[in-house]
Amino acid sequence: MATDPSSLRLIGAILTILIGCMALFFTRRNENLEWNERLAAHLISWILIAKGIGNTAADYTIRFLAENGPVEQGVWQFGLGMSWMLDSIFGVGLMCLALVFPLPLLRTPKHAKIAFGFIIGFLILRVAAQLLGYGVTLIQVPGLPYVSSGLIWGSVYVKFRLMDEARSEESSRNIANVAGMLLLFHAGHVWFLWPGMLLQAEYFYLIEMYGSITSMSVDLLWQSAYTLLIAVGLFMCGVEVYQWTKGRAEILTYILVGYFSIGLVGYPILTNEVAFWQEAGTQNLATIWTGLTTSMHFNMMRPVVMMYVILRYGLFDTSEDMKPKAKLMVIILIVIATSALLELVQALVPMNEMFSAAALGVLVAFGIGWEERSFERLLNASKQMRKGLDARWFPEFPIERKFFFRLDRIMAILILFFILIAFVQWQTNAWYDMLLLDRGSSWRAN
Amino acid sequence: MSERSLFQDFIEEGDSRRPLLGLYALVFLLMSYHMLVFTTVKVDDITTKNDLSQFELSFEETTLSDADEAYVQDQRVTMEFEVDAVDLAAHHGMGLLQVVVSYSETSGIPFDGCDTVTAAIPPSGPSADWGNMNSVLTGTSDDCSDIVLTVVVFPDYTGEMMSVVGGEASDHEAAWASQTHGVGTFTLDLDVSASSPAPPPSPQDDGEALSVTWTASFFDVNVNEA
Repeated sequence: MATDPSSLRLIGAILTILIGCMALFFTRRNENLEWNERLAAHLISWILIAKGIGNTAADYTIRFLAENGPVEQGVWQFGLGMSWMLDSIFGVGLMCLALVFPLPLLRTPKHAKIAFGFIIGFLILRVAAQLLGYGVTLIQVPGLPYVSSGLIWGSVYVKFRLMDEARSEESSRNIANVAGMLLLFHAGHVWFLWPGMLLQAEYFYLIEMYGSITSMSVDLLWQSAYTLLIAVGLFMCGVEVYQWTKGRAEILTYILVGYFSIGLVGYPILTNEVAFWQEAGTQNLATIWTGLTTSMHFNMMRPVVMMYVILRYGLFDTSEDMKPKAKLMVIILIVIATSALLELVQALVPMNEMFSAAALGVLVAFGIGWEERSFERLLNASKQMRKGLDARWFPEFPIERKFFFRLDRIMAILILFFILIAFVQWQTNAWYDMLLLDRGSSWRAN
Repeated sequence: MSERSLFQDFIEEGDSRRPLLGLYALVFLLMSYHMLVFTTVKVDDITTKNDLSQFELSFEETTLSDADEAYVQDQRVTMEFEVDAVDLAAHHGMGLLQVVVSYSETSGIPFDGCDTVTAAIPPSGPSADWGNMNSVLTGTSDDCSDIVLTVVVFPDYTGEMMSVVGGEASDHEAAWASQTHGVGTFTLDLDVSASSPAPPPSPQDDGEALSVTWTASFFDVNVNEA
């Protein structure tokens, strides 16, 4: 059993990949999805697969750099390249997802062409900038996926959470919950930082994207995106507290209040000693705290939140025929997630192995027990998102099934192609060179 | 297809119009605040966050001395000097070991010149920077001048103040601390080649009285950020 933050990152990455593959398997067989839900299910699957592979590479890179530093010709460049490239798929995938799920914002084929054309252009720009050796620079518009999902899901959430129409109450509540959950998935780790942003703490203002290799202007843009997410999150938290007082609390209410409370508790810890997400460990209180919050979000909450959305809102094929398979897969995930939770605790709080083995058994039993009781409830919960709402919110697009199979093929090829690019970058020492170029052209140097 | 735009649907109708405008106002307010803090209030901290700190390292020395004497004839004499861990415990490390070999012509024979004395410290025993360019491990004298030998015990130690860039003060303090370098027994080999002013049956010089002073320099490092 592994006992360090690296192992936790790896378990989280495997969990993410597994959920992605599982979602792909079950959604391909689901005949009961609307066009936007089907597109969302495929996008979610590939987002998770790409992010999981990227996280595996990121973990390797963090460990390599901690031991050896950014050495010339080092294999860290392969890991960093993979992580960066696949993060592009993650970011771009979430931008596409925000446009179609839970509410399709694209109302005409023309809208779709413009929006997806822009996003594909953005992806090409990022990759081209990498291939041309510009490194992580302003022209790649870092943080744009955060801005996109923050504004879109934030707006959808507020619009539907506060929609006071009895006939559409069920649908609007579900839409708001999905938007909130997806934003939590993407930006939950940022919400821990809100006191740091408001109180001008170093642990927020000295954040650097990808360690210290980015210029100040890139950091400014990146932090601005974080600030936007914090503003949206604070507003959502306020709305949830208001709804709570009205007796309309949801799971999202407790999660949001929990995230923002944890952020507040973390302020005195992180102002004493700054620790960024890649520094999670047992060196001091700050790194332990980072492990329990940010690392926990990346490795545990993200896969669990996405699994919840997929199951709760019917993106899986859970027909009687497929239900046993779905149940089996969920049990496997629960076991992995439960053991990962223990990994986190064991990595940060040294404990006797006998005790940890017993605790694992109890937690797994609890996890499976939870699954037994909750699976049916999740599947039987209301998935309605259209009932009572005006038809204009859900425009119809004639998309053939074969489009989705092509999408899967393209995404698989794209991931392999990006891994190949990362390999070439390593062989040509591209990241090492870009790192120096980027530092040379920083705002500071001017 | 709807004739209304998405913007109209979101902003221009319903109970959520005002909350939505409130959301955008909060986003604008906090982003402006962040921009202000980043570019003015915290700009110095941000611009210097990756600058490497400069540190001045100075060394306070404490010496421990010992003396030996021997009458060396035409055969090698070996002397020893032992440094205990206890001697080192109160300091960050042992920097240097200096050995001074002194002698004068004591035969009393008229016209008898100084004998040739050779001193050598074999590079074995305690952990030390034996290969350091400043280490002088052998010396010879034939004019009664002192032979001064030096062993650089702590790697690269000179005892002089130095400047370093980067890292933390604790890193440098740790780098200049060792409880192992110098602990053990140093040995000194002494040879005397006695010379007499005339061959037998005139009186012959058969050896020399040598005095040896061992001086171990222990140090404590002070790290100050410049």
